[in-house]
Amino acid sequence: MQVVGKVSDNTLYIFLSGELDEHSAPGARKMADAAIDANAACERAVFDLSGVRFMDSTGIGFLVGRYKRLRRYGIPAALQSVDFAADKVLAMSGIYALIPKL
Amino acid sequence: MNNRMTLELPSLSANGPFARDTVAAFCAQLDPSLDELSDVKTAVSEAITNCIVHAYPDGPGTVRIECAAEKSALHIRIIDYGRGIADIPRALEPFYTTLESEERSGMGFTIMQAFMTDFSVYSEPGKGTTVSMRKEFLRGGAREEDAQLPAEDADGPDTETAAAVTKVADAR
Repeated sequence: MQVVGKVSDNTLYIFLSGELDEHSAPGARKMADAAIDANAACERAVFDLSGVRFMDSTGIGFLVGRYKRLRRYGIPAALQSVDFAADKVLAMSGIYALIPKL
Repeated sequence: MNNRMTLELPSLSANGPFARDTVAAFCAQLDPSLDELSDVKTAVSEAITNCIVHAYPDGPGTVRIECAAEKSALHIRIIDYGRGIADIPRALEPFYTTLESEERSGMGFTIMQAFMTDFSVYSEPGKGTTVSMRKEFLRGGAREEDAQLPAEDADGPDTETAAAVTKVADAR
């Protein structure tokens, strides 16, 4: 799993690519948190899942964890490019109430 | 068609991708759609994660995965010999987790139930847990029906197809 943070127009885009599961989550958390901490002055954050090839419920925990971290900085979060399979997992959790889809 | 596969591996998180991809490869003979295949991979991943995190919290133990292909369905059992589950109804509740601090969603069993056609879990505390699931592949069944069509309608389109195939072969 690769996590890349890019800032554009005061928005922190967090691009996830690869497979998000029990094995890859610890590394993904670290990379995402580093990107968030380094860009704490951003106005909002967007998780881009276009490169995610597989995601199980680990993805829910991952996103909620990052949502909480962003909230500490007062940064609202959103999701984009969620494919059918990831959407099926995320929709079940009701996470879109916290992190809406763009 | 009846076919079987058994896979046994230690409950290492690094084995998760291998296990779900192997089960997906076994499913190929049942002609699943990509969405159905994704459902199976996700359910398997959830079950294996449970083995890693809950069944063997102190270190790797054995996980056994038994698959059977029968008609248009995959039957799968994921077995561990670990800690077991004392209160299964509780464990099946959405969002219930014993490990809140680790960013766990508590959605594993809920996803297995929602993504598979049938689901059941048997557990004995101290002895282990068996998750049994079945996934009915709709396209696999539909293809079997398709295959019967030419027998009912023997001539006509078939000769045209044969001619077209000959033409393509001639062109090469």
